[in-house]
Amino acid sequence: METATVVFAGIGTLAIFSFLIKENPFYRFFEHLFIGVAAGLLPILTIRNLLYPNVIGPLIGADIQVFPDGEIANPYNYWNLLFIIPLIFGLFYYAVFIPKVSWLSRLVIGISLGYSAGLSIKGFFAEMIPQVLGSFKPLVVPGSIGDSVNNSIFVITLLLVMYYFFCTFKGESTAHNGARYTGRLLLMVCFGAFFGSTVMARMALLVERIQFLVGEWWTAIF
Amino acid sequence: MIEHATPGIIACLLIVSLVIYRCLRAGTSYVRRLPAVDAVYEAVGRSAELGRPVSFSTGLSSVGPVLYAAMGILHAIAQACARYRTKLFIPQNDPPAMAIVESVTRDAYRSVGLSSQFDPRNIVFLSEEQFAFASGYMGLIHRERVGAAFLFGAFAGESLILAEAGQQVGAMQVAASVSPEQVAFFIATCDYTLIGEELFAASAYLSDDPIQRGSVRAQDLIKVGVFFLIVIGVVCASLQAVFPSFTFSPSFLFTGGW
Amino acid sequence: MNKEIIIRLFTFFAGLYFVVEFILPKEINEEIGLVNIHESVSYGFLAIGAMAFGLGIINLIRIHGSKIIFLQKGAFYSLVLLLGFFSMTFFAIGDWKLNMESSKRAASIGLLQKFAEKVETTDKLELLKLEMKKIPELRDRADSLATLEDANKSSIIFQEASQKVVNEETSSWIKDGYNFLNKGVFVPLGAAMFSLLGFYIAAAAYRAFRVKSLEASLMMIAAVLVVCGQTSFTLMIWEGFSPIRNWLLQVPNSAAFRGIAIGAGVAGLVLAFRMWFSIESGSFGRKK
Repeated sequence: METATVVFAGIGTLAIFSFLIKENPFYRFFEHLFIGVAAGLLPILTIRNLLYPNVIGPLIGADIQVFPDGEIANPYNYWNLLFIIPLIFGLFYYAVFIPKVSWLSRLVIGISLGYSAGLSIKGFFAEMIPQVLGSFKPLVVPGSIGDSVNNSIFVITLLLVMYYFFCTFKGESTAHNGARYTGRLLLMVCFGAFFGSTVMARMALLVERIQFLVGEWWTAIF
Repeated sequence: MIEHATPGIIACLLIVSLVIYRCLRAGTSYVRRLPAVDAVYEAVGRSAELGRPVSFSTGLSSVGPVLYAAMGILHAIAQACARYRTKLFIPQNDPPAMAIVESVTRDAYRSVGLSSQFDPRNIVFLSEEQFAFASGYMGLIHRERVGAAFLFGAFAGESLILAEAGQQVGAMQVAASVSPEQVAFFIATCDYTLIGEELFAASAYLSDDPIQRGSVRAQDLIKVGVFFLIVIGVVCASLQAVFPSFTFSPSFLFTGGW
Repeated sequence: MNKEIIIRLFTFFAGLYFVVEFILPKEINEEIGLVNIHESVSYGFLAIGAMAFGLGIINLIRIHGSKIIFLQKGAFYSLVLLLGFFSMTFFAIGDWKLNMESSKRAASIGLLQKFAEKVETTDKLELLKLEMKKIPELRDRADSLATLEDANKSSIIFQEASQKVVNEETSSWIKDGYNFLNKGVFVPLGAAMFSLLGFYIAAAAYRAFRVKSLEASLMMIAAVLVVCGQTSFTLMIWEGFSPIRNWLLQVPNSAAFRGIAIGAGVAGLVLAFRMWFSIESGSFGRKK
């Protein structure tokens, strides 16, 4: 069975690579198979790893155990009954298929929006503020010209990039346009650096797949 | 990471709320020209002339501000596609986001009086898995030979795959992502790219909606506050480095206890 | 009550919990018990979103099912998709059931361990030994618990048995099927898709890095310097590429990244307020 798994994996890998020539039935077959298998696996994993252990299990008392002498090891916590509420709200997503109560799907969408809004507001202050505080770098570091220069470049780059993104302030002066253009140039340096830093990682992934084809797969076939 | 609010953070939250409230009421008339957003209608028009469909992808966006911002642009694009009688494919990755996308698209078609044109089968759920989604997207773009591809939302490693798929069929592509790593790939592959928060401003730029424009104005005013906070912080840190007895720093607002 | 008002109220209260939980000091959170319920509340909200998984499945079945039924173009591939879906669902549920059985056995061993630690009478000791004899991994060790003290200090016996159960490899056609679809389809196809980036990044670099403008030139120079700084071949030519790469990534790159992140964070914050208070003029930009 393991051999069959490796052989099939290699054929699938070649099918994906065949897309580089052009879209073809071989690729299409494995594309649809991939989507189907993913669609079958992920919901079960969601129920298995998230919903059942944390919501459904506690709700139905699946974790209740009884000692051999009849004593209950962990009695049912009746607050767990409240877990029925998110499950009912979750079912409201499917109200979209019933015209009479389709507004319930907008209700649960509203809850999702509200919940993510609350988390975003919390996230801004929890994650962004430390980044702002971390930008308070001294422009002059006594005894270290290198650090002084680096901090100065850091702060100037940060401020110019922030300046570039102001969208609602009109400005025709040379200073304004110059600052914006410099900010844009610094952004290009940033993007070039990001591009360069991911090149090797992407190549490593390709090397790994080729090693699989040349090593494991080839050996499994012959 | 800050785990709980300090009095300084509460003060900032109140100031931010006030600024947002004032701006949402007042709106603003000026939003800087965004060439990438101008290109949206050009791309849809081009697709209509070529008789090719349009695709709009929100990538891996789940329900949140990024998806919300992308919906403003989707609304405008869906209206344009309805008027031009051009098919609009919306491949999807996240089921709750799909529910929102369907609602927005249906409303866009209804708003131009062309509800009959809306086909829910064009909102195609591909997969929640990142690369299954990418493979489905690639296949869809090639088989349908889209004329314009819009990539607005949250993307990860598959961003280059999605952009290359559109590039290969000669589609005009406009992309926007808040993630700088993926913006780098979009710049290399797409015709127009919106960087970072320009995604949030794009929808305001497309519509005359005072609330959306007011929202962008509020963003700018808050950023001015952050800008000057950084300037003050840097000045204080520099003075502290030169004169160690100088200990004032605006960071006490955010790190002090109760 | 107007449906719109109900929806807005639910939206507001859903967000209110997280904002209040963040604003209140940790001490007050502990006093009012928010710390104890936070995990459950978070899981509750996650569960709401997770319950939507069926929407994707319904969409897939509708689109591909109708292609098969009406023998439209692409019906064969739709059949492949749905066969893949149903077979993976079957095997994933089967694999879960097998794992649950072994987890239950491990849990019952854990329960006996807790019981053994608090055994106080010889009757309960005999009961414990009887239960141990029902479990294959503990059958041989049951008689080694001669006294109450032996029982109270016997946790190592149960831990070893539990470990044996967890590490046991059950061979079954269900596990074979699951492993075939998981390790033969899902994992390798995902890795193959990811590896396409190796080809595409080269194509993108060829297209983008041409000296046609100052911006493109800067992007190219930065990219080339970073690549040179992390490739052993170029480092052999000149070691100075490495500190240049590090400087580029630590100073201008991280500053620009922070500028983008702060801007996007502020924009997200403003939009989050609009979402929280449901401030829209109609639906997403419809002109009044």
